[in-house]
Amino acid sequence: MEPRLKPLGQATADYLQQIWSKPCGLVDIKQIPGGASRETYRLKLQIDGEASGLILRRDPPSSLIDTERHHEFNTYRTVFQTGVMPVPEPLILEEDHAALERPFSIMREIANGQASPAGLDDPAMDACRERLGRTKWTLLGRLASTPISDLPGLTDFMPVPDHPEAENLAYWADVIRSDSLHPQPIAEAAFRWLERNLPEPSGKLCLTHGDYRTGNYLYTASGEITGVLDWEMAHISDPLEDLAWSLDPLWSPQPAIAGRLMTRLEAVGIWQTASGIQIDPIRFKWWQIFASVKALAIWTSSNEDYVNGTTKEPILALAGWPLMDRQSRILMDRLCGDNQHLIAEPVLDLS
Amino acid sequence: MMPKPQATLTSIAMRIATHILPVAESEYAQADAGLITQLLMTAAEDFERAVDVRMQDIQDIQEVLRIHADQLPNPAWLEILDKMPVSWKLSDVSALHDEALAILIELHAWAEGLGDQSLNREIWHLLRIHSERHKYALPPI
Repeated sequence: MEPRLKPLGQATADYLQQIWSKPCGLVDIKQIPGGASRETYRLKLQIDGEASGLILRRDPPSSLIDTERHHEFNTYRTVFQTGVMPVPEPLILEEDHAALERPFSIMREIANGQASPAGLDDPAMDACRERLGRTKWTLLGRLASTPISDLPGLTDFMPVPDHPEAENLAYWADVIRSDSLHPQPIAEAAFRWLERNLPEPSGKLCLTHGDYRTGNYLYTASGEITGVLDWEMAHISDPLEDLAWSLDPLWSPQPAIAGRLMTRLEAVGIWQTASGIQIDPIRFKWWQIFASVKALAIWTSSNEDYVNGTTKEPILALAGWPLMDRQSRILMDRLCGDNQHLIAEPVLDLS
Repeated sequence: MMPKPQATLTSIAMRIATHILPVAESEYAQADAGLITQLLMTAAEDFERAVDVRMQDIQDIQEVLRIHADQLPNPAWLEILDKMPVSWKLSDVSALHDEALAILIELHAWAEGLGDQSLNREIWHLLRIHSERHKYALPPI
């Protein structure tokens, strides 16, 4: 056990002992890398004599995404209760600062699976990559086809947008304009394109994960998805939003491969079958460009946070530096007709 | 002494990657060392070129403005034509670069509004060169 983490682990065990009125002993605590929005820890405890694995998510002093912790927790609870996607069971949300200095949530650990994007490139995954891709976009298609009325309590804490495209664009454009440390001519050109080509609402609404991508789900060596994680950006929107985001070229080192798993067209086909939704290519192009703008907004925000905020996590700096560069070049590929399209195709041909 | 910051930062990054990262005991420390290595490589790549690529951007924007000076609706845009950075410090070059990019955004929006396809294409061409100029060799995460 790392000595620096022991006090936090012990404080968590003491807190749980008090809340659950059961003997609770700390066995181990490890910090999980990659938690840009929350500090994430894996705890091994003895609770009433039984071994138990828990995940602790604690607010950092500042974060990549300004999100409400109860929003994320409530989303986990809703998805867990309905079983529309595999997620860890949410157990506790504590907003008081007393126990662990900052608010936190606790979930039951899903012991089986890893989230590493690079792990998908392991030759050992060759045989099951197709199965994993099929599962990934089938799950997303099922979520897209689940009426929000089938997710009890969802609209109690999540607003239902009148115009998802317009509302999303306004929100993320404001993030970029508020947090940019330098003028961003490519992002501004993308805003204007998105405004000029703003589609009418499709009338289809679903719960969208908001960050459904490589790295945000747990997978096994046999190609199963055991948990979908990081729901802090979940919201109600058009089903195409999550699909476009999941296919953004940023999530794969190979331009033609979506999420390191399969071609975009294969992924789209699986999603269409699972969701029962036939994609309108024009609307989809809008959401693809929007996805890159939203990602750019997150990198911009992280950059601002790293420079002006109190958190000096390297991931924030990296997001705001080479990732902004790559995302801008993806947008160039999408919007500039005579680009070389080394990273992204100009538009996904769905014909 | 002739400093070689790009080579120095690169060798520090490689040192972390080959000597520290492999012996880091926790998964978190390994990931941190990996990210720091990538950050140092990024800084190394930018260090040598930072002033140069910004100055090239500024000159490209000045050139477009100069070519189209007669037709532009906002005379204030042309004030940047003869400007130079206050000094060659990166912060001063970056300040003028920001000023030029802000004008480029206004110019681009104006060209689109006007339906001037020729100027629009010129600006996209400029943006393409700009984004290629600033790109990093690092692989995606």
